[in-house]
Order: sequence, then C-alpha cells, then structure tokens
Amino acid sequence: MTKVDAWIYTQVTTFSDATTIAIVGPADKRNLWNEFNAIDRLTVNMYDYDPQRACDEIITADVVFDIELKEELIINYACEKMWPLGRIYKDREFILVGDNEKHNGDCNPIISNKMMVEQNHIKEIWSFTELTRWQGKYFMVYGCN
Amino acid sequence: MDREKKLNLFTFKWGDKYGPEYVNRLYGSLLTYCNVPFNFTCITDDSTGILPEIGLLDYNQIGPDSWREYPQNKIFTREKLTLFDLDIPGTKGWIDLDVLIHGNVTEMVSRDFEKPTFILNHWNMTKENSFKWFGKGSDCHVNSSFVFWQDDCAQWLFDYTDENLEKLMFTYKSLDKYLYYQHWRKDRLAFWEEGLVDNFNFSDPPHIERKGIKITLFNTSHITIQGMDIEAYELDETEGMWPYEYWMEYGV
Repeated sequence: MTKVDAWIYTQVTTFSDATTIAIVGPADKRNLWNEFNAIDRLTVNMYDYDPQRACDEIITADVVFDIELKEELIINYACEKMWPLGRIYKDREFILVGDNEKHNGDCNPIISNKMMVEQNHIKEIWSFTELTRWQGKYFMVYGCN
Repeated sequence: MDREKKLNLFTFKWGDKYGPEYVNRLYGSLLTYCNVPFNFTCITDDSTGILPEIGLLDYNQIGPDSWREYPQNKIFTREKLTLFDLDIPGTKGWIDLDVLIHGNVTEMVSRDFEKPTFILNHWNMTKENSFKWFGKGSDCHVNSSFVFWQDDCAQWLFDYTDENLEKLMFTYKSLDKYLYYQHWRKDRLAFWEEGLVDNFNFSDPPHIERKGIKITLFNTSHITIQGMDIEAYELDETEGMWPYEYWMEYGV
C-alpha cells in the first residue's frame, strides 16, 4: 500500500463513522477499494470519468458535472484536477488529496492544505499531512463541511 | 446582414496575432469554394483594413457580460459559443482565421445539421496511446476551427455553458478541451467525417497537400504554450509552400 493510501486507510478505520464511501479518481489504484471492501460495515464506490478505466468496479462519471454523489465520505484523489467537491456536497466527510506538480491538465494545483480546506469549505479539520512526491508534494486533509 | 440569405458565417479577430488580410482572404476563399449565397461577419475589436463587404460586430459587445468577466485563459475562445445564442434562422457557421479552405465546401455547409458539427482530430486519433492522458485532463481530440449548425440545434450548448459557467471556467483553459471532456465524451456533438479536414502541422507526415482535403488547419498556439518540438507554420509563414499560393489568391 502506498503512503497516501496507508494514511487514508488509517483515518477511515480509526476515526470515521461513515458507512458509505466514494473514491473519486482512483485511476488504476485498487488497494483502498480492496481494503475497504473487506470491512463489513462499508459500502465503497469508485468514480472515474476516464472511459479507459471503465470496469465493473468503476462508475464512469464526472462527479462535478454528471452525477450527484450520495456517499457519506468522499475521498478525492485528484483535487488538483477539478472543481472543489466541498462546494457541491455539504455535510459530508472529506479526505482530500492534491499535489503541486502542475501537470498539463491540472486546473487547480494544490499548494497547501489550507488551500484545500478553504476551497472545500471544510469546517472541522480532523487530521492533515504532507507527503513527498516525485517533483512536489501531496497535500492531504481529513475533515467535514 | 441580409436576412434573406440562409447561410450566415462568422469569424473572430481580436488582439494583434492576425491581421485583416486573414479576414479578407478567408472571405475570398469562401467566395471561391462556397457556391451558396452567404453573409460573412467578422467579430472584431479592430476593423481596420477589413473589406467593406464583410459585416462587422463589436467583439467587446458580443455575449453575456458574465462571460467577459473571466480572463481570456479560461475557456479560451469561449466567445464562439455565444453565436449559438444568436436568434438567426437557417444554417450558421464560424471559421477560425488560421484555417485555409482549398476545396469546395458547398456540400458540407448545405447539410441538415442535427447537432453542432465540429472537427475531430482524425490525424491524432489513430496514433498509439492517443487516449493515454485522458484521465489526466491533458488529452484533446476536438477542434473548433470550422463549426456549423442549424437553427437552434446548438442552443443547448450555450445554455449549458451559461448555467455551469463558474465550474467550467475553473476547470478548462480552452474551448476545445471543454468540448472534448464534457460533450464529446457524452456524444452530444457531431463531427466532419475523416478525409475533409487536415492539420498542416500535426498530420503525419506534416506539411503536404492531401487529395480530397478541403480544409487545412494551421493552429500553432498550443505548440508554443506547451513548448513542443515541432516544425510548425502559421498561414503567413508558408511562403514557398503549397498553402501560400492558395492564400495569396484569395485577396488582400
């Protein structure tokens, strides 16, 4: 399990009461989905707009423009690539992950945890951290709005 | 504008990247290769040097005020979409200035359009891994340089954009990418079939005149922006190559 996934897993299994989880932008990562599915109380859905990722486990949809998420906890792996989900979805738990590498296609490079907190209108911050990436950092926040 | 004419064509010229000769020669190419009567209007912030027979609209007045509040690097060339909201019956089209028309387009512009019809980048679609970066948001196979629609069949696209303006402006830097990620993906757009439109700089091999092609694109802006190592030309830089001969024949 990657350090990012391990941090997320710890937050969810230690602190969260959510029974439904949305994983947004998982790409080809399945570690978290597998781990959470092994926990009886959790129902986990994965969302990715990339048709190339389409498979039985993935709901192919853009969670900003196409559909409305119903899950209690939203894990967003790709905050740097989208409109802040906390501005759409209220009274939810969020685990927000974003990076500052400014790839082509990133509309929202994340430069701090404070930035994600403010963008997503997070009212309570339960934990946060930073992890080193290839050329930058992951910023990670767990809280609710 | 002659309302009796059922074909209304538009182009945009703002800033100083392209001179009035681009407008005039685009018009000249249409006189040569479009055999149905049409109105041709340039939406511009500077009409100096544009032929008097070309209609003019003020670039600074086109579209909703709310759209103009955003910087140009948000959904770049979004102004085009405001044409979908014009209350003009019949067939309408916009053509970018960096387009060379060098074949007869009468059949193309005379079709019954049920959806707004854009260019699909066929020259890129078949390349290996051409969709590899879709999920990263850096892919794009839609081009909005030669677009036609009929009556109000594209009104929904203006309305959708207006209703989702803040989120869309935040998410997309270019119109083509917005169209690709939000509307190509959902099969809401139509496209010219392969073999009609080519790209002078990106097709493989580049820079050649292909049989049957009626429209060739010369866009280079994303090459500069992305620092791509490609030998690319704007139309006015093709002196000594085949496009220049066509272009110079089309007027002043």
